[in-house]
Amino acid sequence: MDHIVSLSLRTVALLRTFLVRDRRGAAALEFALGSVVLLSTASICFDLYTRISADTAGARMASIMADYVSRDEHPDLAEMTKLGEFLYNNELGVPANLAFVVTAIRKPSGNPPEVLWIDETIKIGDATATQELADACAQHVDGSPPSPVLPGHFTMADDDILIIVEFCARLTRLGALSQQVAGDIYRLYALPARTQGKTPDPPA
Amino acid sequence: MTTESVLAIGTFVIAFAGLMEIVGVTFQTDQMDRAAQAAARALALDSSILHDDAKRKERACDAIIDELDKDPAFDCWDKWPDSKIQPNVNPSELPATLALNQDPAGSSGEMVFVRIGWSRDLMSFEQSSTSVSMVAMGLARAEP
Repeated sequence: MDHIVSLSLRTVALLRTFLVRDRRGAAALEFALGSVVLLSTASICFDLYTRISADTAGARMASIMADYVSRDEHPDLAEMTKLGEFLYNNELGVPANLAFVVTAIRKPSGNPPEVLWIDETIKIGDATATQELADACAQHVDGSPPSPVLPGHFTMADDDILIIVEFCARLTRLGALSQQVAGDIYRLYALPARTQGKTPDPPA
Repeated sequence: MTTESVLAIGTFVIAFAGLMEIVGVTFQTDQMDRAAQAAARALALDSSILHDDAKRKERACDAIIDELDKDPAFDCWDKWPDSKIQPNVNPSELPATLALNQDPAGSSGEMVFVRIGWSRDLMSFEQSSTSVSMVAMGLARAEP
């Protein structure tokens, strides 16, 4: 018993020597701890900046794609894909998996709006991840056969045609930390078709 | 005041300035991207001026002035000489339009591409001689 008490007292004395009396290296320890906090804060800020930039870029990408599709009676899928790739490289500019979902909705005279076609083929990145994104991205169609859920409680006049472009992205490197909190990027842009009364074909 | 306090305050000031710089860059970059987009859309709406270099430059600059809320006398092309307008580009030719002085050969596409080459003074100091080059771009499909 005496032996244990003696050992404990010696341990406490040793700890006091290191933690209280001996201050050597304290500044280095503070610097190390402070560096971790500062570097973590800087990383989080940079990650957040990337996320915000990607989010606004996503909005622009959706609007450019919608503008492109809405003027075409026969949308060219190859050109749309190239446009998507260009926007990914030059507007988004950070590694990501992404998918565009383009939907055309028509309102026949005297009937509720109906889905003309949906295109989910423009995907960039890992096949599994982009398929998952595309499946979850189409938020303005519902059921099978798909019926439209108009964004923002839009109303459509008879014979109106609406082009909706939904953009979904999952950042894979920069911005991936904020991604854990904020989830995938989702952006939507809707425009009336400007094909002068002609019904646009599905992209091909 | 101890050395440690001075260092702590210095670190805090630098960190705060860095944070403000990030906010400033984010805001300004987004603003310039929107200005380029507004210019492209303005040009795409009027095919009559699309192939007149002087008119399209004037129209694009008007749209940029509106978007950035600048003085009407602001000369975009003098301020940002590294800018260009490519009035008839196909999506497949877009990568080439990003390089200055390298127009896609024989392009006859339908998209208007506006590229604004602008620069931002670091830390926004008036006398700063260090600036970073940035590119803002806008794309819109012209009337058929």
